[in-house]
Order: sequence, then C-alpha cells, then structure tokens
Amino acid sequence: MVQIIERKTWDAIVIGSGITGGWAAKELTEKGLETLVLEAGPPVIPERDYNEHTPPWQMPYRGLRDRKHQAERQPVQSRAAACDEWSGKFFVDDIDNPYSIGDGGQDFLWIRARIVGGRSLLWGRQSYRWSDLDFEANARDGYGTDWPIRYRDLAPWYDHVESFVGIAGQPENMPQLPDGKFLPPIAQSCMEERVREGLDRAFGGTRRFTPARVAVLTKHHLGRRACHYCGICRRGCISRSYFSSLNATLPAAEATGRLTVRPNSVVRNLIYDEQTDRVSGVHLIDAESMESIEVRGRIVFLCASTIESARILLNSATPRFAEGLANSSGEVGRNLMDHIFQVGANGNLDGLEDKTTFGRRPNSCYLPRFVNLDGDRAEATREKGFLRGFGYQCGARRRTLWQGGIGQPGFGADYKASLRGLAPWRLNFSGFGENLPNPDNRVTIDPELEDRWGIPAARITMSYGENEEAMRESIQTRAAEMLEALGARNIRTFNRNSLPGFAIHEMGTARMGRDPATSVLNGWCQSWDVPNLFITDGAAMASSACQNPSLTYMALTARACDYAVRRMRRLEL
Amino acid sequence: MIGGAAAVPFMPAELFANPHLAHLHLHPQQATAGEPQPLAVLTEHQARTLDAIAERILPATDTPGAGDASIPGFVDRLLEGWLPDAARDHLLAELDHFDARARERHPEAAGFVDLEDHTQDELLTEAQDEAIAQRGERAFSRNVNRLHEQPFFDLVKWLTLFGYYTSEAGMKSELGYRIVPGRWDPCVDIEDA
Repeated sequence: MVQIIERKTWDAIVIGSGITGGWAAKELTEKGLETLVLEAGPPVIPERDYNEHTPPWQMPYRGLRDRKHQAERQPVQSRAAACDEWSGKFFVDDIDNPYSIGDGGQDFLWIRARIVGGRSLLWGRQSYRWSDLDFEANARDGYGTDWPIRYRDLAPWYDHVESFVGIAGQPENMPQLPDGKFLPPIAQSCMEERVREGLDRAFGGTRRFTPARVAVLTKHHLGRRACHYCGICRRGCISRSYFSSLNATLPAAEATGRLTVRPNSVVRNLIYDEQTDRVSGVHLIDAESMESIEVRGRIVFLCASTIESARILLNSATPRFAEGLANSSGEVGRNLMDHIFQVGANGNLDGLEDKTTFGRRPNSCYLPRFVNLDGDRAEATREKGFLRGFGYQCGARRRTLWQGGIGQPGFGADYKASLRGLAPWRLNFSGFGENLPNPDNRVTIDPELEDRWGIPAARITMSYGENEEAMRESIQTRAAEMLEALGARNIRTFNRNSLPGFAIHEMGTARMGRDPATSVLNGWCQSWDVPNLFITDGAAMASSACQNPSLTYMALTARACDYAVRRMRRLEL
Repeated sequence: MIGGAAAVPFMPAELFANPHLAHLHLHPQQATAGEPQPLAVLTEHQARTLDAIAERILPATDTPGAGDASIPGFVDRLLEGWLPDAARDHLLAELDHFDARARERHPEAAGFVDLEDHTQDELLTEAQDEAIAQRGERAFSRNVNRLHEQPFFDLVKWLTLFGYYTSEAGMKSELGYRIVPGRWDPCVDIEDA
C-alpha cells in the first residue's frame, strides 16, 4: 500500500499541530530534536486567513452564515457557535470526515478543526489549573483509576507553560483552583464588582466571582502584543495576542531551525516494529495527492486530539496488538468524557443604569467549584445527589436594544430612537460540570465507514448518566440561589441538555494510570506497551474535573517532552 | 499595533482566495462597503421599493437611516443564496403585492417609491396592522423554515433591522461600533460608550 518511503529518520514525529502538538513541537525542537509535525489539514497563514477585523457588512450574509453550505457540508460542525460565517472555514467538512454513533449512545457532536494550529485557533482560551481535588477524585470515590500524578508533579509544568502562554488572571488563593503565573487580569465591569462583593457577603467568601483566567495578553509578552479588545478571538488574531499554536508555539519551534511542518498529511496508522518493540514511523495519506507515504522517527508524540488519537491507535493493530496499538490493557478508546454545560440561570440586576463598558473583552468571569470539596471543607460542601462538581462561566452584560426590536411594534423616527441604548444588566451563570469516567463510553472503529482518504472511521458510543443528570439540577438551583441572594429579577433557569461532545472538552480515551493492566499510559504520558510512544492530548486524562482542560494538556505535554528527551539522551528509548 | 485601527488593516478580499483551503470551501469574502454589487434576483424597481420601505422603517435622523445601509443588496444576497425557496417566493410575491396596492391607491404614482413620506407611512401602517391581525399573539419567528409563513411587514422589518444594524452606517453611526476599540474600560458613562 505504501507508495513512498521517506528515507530521513526524524528525531521526533508529532502527530497534530493543535494546542498539544504545538507544545510538543516547541519543547522537542528547543531541546535539540529534529522534529516533523504532521497536520491532517491545510496551512493557515495569519496575514491571509485571519478575519477578526472583517466587519459584518463585509460578509456576504452579514453574519447569518452560509446556511446552505453548512446544511450540506457541515451539519455537525455548524451546531457549534464558533462555526460562524467568519470561522466556519476553519472547521472540518463533515462529509469528508464522517463518524458514526454506536448502538445505545446519545448523538455525539464531534467538533473538529483540521488546519495547521488545529482547534487552538478556535478555543475559548479559559485556562485553569487543576488541583488535588481533581487528581485524587478517582481514588476518592472509585470511579475510573487513580491518576499516577498529583498536583505537585504538575505544578512546575503549569508554571512553565503559563510563563510562555501568558494568562490574564487574578490570584484568589483558593485550594480548588490554584493560582498561576498571571499577567494582569482583565478588570470586571462595575456591575460585576458589585456581584463579587454581594456573593462574598452572602456566602462568606466561598463563592468567588473572579475575572475568567484566559490565555490572552494584557501586556506585551515575549514578542506578542497586548490585546486590542476587538472581541472575537476565534477568527484569528493578527497581533497574536491570544495563545494558539499558530500564534506562539509553532513560531517558537520554527525559530530553532529544527521544525518541519507537513500539512495535508492525514495519518492512517502508526508503524510498529516487532523486532525492536518500538514505533518506527507513521503511515500517512497526502490529503491532496492521495499518495500513501511512510515517514520514520525515533519517538512519536500522538497529539491528534482525544478521539482521533484513539482512532489512530485502533487503526494501527498488529499481530501483537490485535486490538489496537498500545492496547494490551483494552482501555484504548474507553472512558471518553466531556463536560456537561448549557445549564444554569440568569436574571436582571438593578442599578448602574447609566454605566456600561467600553471595548469587547476576550473573557468574562468565572466562579470556581464550591461543592463536594475535600479536606476540612468536605462536610460543609457535600452534595447528596451526585459526586464531584462544577464551576460557572459567568458575567453581567447589557444587550443592545435593537436586538429585541422585532418584538417592538412600530416604525419610523420614534421607533428608531426607542431602539437606541442598552437593556438592563443581565447576570448569567453557565455551568460546566464534571463527567464521571465510564468504560462503556468509548471510541471504536466502524467496520464499514471510511473517510475521504479511505481510513476507517471512528464510532462513538457515549451517554451521560445519573450523576450528570443530578448535577444539572444542582447547577440550576445553585445559580438561581445566587441570583436571589443578589436581588436579581426575572430569574430564569435553563437546561438545554447538551449532547456529549458539545462542550468540545472530550478527554480520556488513553488514560494515564498506575497499572499497565488498567491504563494505557504511565505517569509520563508514555505508552506502557510501546516505550517510544507518548500521547499527550486529552486522551491521556484519567478524569475530567470541571475546569477547562487545555492548560493541563499543555503542562502534561511539556512534562512528557522533558522526560522523553532525558530518556533519549540516556539511550533508553 | 495596540490601539491604532490604522495599524490593523482590513484584509483585502483577494487574499482570501487560498488554494490550500479550497477543499474546506473557503469563501472569498467580498467587500460590499464601497461599490454596490449587481443584483442577482431583485429587479431594479423591487430594489428601489425595498430601499424606500427600509428608510421609512428606520429613517435618517441625527444618524443615517436604513436607506444608507444597502438593504436591497443584503436582501438580494439572501434571496440568491440563503433563503429557502418558499421564503424567497413569498417575499418576492408579497413585495410585488405591496407595491401593486400602492399603485392601485395612487394611480398617479409609478409605485411605492414615488409616494410622499406620509403616504408611504400610511401604507406601511396598514401592512403592520395586517401583520398583527395575521399573527395575533405569536411573535415573529426567525426560524428559517418558518420565514415563508411570516407576514410581509414583519419579514421586511426584520430584514431592515438586521441589515441596518450590521451595516457600516448603522454600526458606526447608530451603535458607535469600532472595529478595533484598542482598550477595555470596565466602567464608563453610557453617553461615552
């Protein structure tokens, strides 16, 4: 099948150029490794492809999206808010990139970007450390298997990645959400300051309303410019003020002179050498020429994203690993997780009618987990109905009145004047909740379906369970309770029962663990079965916590790179 | 680069013709701000009628009106590539019907566009009353599969509102929109925003 075998043996091959592939590229090249990054999709050239400053009036449909195209080619992707008229081009074509839903599973929304930079172009940039409340969770309640690491193992690597990424954030000294190396926070609005004070008063400081910690620069940082508050990061950022592979890690790797990025390289499978018991290379399909190509490397970092990485392993079966490469445990593809979201409450706040904000900030606020805490807080914060917890992305803002204009009768000059101005402040709490690891939530290979490149497609079987259901109730109740404490009016709870995948925080198909019999990776994101294979994207996660996971992926990646290179230097790989 | 709109230029439309992204169906983005595009669906007369209706719904006051917002160009794009067939046919038929009524009532005029402001407003008020009678308590639905059921006045009002508040005239003059604000101020007086 392979038509072309490239002779060069790379020191390292990184599969994927998203948030973790970019980090692997940077760390490995900076440590001296000649590194090849394989990206399934085309290049993105900021000066040409970013469009954050293209106003609605220069878009064909003024932001209403290319509806017919999306219905035909992006029926899944267009469910995501980010897949709009500007950013839709960064998301995959669903017809070229099919997947199926396994029997008994809920519909799963697999939102993807196959482009150089991957979903790091499109992410929400929320950057939170996890704590031992999270790393000890599996051991505490018995769901999943124990993480092989604790916060102290990862803390220096959080420092390391934050120092490079640039995170705007405010220290809060809360054990469940450790502080990091922050740039100045993006200030809360005057109404949000009131909310913070009100919640501190009403809940004794246990419900802390803090500026969302985001990977956006509030001052010049390592050659990248401070944010100019144009507002919609996911369209790109010509001043490189938000963190993405394209804006930060890939240029750093490029600067070493040891980086080669090969776009349009769809990985079919890893090549396993029975003689050496190592991965010897990667079999890819050139997305444009359809040629089948083999590239060779001494180590492989699989950073293709949670579901794609599982798919690649399962498509890499060999006589020794008949159930998929690195899968002697049988855990590859299992324990797929996401976060429950699109659930919470909102209400109007009186006061500050004559005040508003200027500029369009790239964040909002965050309210860290306050239920089911550990240690001496355990008793007071225990919830009866469910295990683990949730946090809220939240904020107070004022809508422009014209948006409700169609509901107002009339027309003419007075009508136009009545639409000028802003609606009252509305405070919204939108929960993000932890999803228990469950071996039945899994990725397998569809026996028939193939993608445009002839590669067997993923089949995804996932359902939320009773724990998630109970948590959704509490997310609404707790949010409404805070709104009441603040004296809000028109309080409305909401629960849109988000489908699995829709939070785009999928994790857990090649979990780290302490035992090769029950986990795929050791504490260094290294395959138990194949020592020169590292998996450092969301697949490595043993639990999901409730915080946005990307910062933890980055820290795990940098830590794994450091370990891999040390082992290589000792000729142990 | 911080703060200066001039230092963060718009990206010219031709730069979006990216062969590497062709299979992602990247759409060339056309600047509609300057010269008007030729009409694909609307006749010249229909376009002028829509323009006149839009201007009466959101007239020029101390800020520009919807007549400065290229509403016909926007609607023409929707008719060409966005609206379902049923909604497209409905809108075009109702637009002609509305204009036919104007000619019927005022045979001396070539259509709605030729009428005085107050006469235009009478016809629009009548259309609004009909819309209210037709939909009763129901609110206007933006659901794309329901657009063909919406009364003409509601539909044209929605298109005018959306078109105006996403136009250069509407966003910059009426909403005070700046593409690159350059700073974040968490608390300003509403008059200064």
